[in-house]
Amino acid sequence: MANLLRDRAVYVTGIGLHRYQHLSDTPYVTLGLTAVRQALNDAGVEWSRVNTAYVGNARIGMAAGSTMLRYLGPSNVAVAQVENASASGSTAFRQAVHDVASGLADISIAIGVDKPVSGAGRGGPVNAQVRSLADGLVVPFTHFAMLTEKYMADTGATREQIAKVAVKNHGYGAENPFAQRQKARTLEEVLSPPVIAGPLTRLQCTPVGEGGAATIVASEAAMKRHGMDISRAVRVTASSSRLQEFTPGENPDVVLTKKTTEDALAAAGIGPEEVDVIELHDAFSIEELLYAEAMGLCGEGEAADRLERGDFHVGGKHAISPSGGLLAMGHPIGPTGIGQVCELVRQIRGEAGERQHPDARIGLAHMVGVGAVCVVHVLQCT
Amino acid sequence: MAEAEKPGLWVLQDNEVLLRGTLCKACGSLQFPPQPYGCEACGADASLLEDHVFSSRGTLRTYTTVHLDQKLETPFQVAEVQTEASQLVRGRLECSEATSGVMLEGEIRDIDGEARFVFVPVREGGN
Repeated sequence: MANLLRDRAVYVTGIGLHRYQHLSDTPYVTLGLTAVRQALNDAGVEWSRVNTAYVGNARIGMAAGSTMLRYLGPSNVAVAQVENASASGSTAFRQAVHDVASGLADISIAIGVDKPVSGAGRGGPVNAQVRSLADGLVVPFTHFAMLTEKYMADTGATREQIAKVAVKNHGYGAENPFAQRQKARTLEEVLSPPVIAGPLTRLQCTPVGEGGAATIVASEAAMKRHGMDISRAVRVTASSSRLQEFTPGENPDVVLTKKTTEDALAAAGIGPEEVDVIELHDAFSIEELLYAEAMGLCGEGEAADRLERGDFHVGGKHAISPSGGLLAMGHPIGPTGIGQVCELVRQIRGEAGERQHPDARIGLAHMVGVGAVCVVHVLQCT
Repeated sequence: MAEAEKPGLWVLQDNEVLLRGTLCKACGSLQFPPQPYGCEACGADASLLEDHVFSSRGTLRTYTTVHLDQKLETPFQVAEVQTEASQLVRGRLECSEATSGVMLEGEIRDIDGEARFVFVPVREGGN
């Protein structure tokens, strides 16, 4: 396959967010356009200059993107809505990046907007009508509780060690004005009831709410032509995506994460040890440990100890989820993957304030989505 | 929901509960749950898939206790079992002393007026 991003420089030049929050009366159009206007303003470019737009969304339904974007005024933009479960936003970003890399667009925008409304139906997994003995018994938190039990049995990690993922990420959420959960939590608070399943307590499960996120993606020529500030631009050096393979007996999300991350790091020409900041799919605390190992940030079974040593904190070896991650920043679905890119851009620009990882130069964003799919992007300073 | 088990995920045969899976005639892969779409292992067309029953006996790989559910009475246990045919099967568990590696088998129990599959410890002297 061609490595478009090696041959042609593609940059993120603007970011914008609407705070992630519980379901409210705010219309989704407001959530989305708040993020879009902020991103346009941050990039210093007018809406009419944007050639293509991809709107990541999983729960609003048909024509969410086009309906929203009409309110930005006249434009020739080509719009498409992108649905890829939890990776909808990441996939919208991938489309925007490839439009610019291929030369089809000079400037593209990737938007994520979502709201837990009922219009989108129950989706493929239910409508495929493949029944199992686990129907009605195993929901996502049950699945991850079982993975937590297995991880504890295999590695000897304790429930306190696993809960420390949530302590770390709630701490960062408290410093992120766009996070749904903005309260630092002690280990005791994270471990206290309600218990959801097995070792998983409420504060070790992501809150699924609503929000908006947007990124402007542009070529170097477009940045020069429209007077955008290249010193604050962050280059996208890899975009990888994979579908789950048939690997009975193995955790499909771990296998997917390992392979997709390998693809992305190879495309960017770097090793896992070189990545400074990682935003990953920590919908449940155990996921951070499983994926840190799958990505090669440490050896198998080592992640809980590494976390306790501070390796995954801001200022440590690799800062994992300085935004607060899905556990604290939240997981509104459509925006989540784009919100991760916003955080990496902020970190690489050195504009992350209290959460700033020192000398952040290389960032990696990772999402998995039901199906299952995995999407990984690598961003680097220019 | 009761209809979840209606397509026939299990059968009773000589007092033993067997699971119904899909066997691929092209590559020999046995898959559970059964589906009519195509082989996940080799991509063979659905016409090459056939019904295949196999023992529900196996060893407990991992399990957890669920404390929150909108429909079911909690707490309840859920298990992941490695069957003798090497399938990883998840289902309800009823076992007071569950430990990894314990031998389990399927049993059909009446739960809320419906016949439901449950993993239970293999009975002493059972066949």
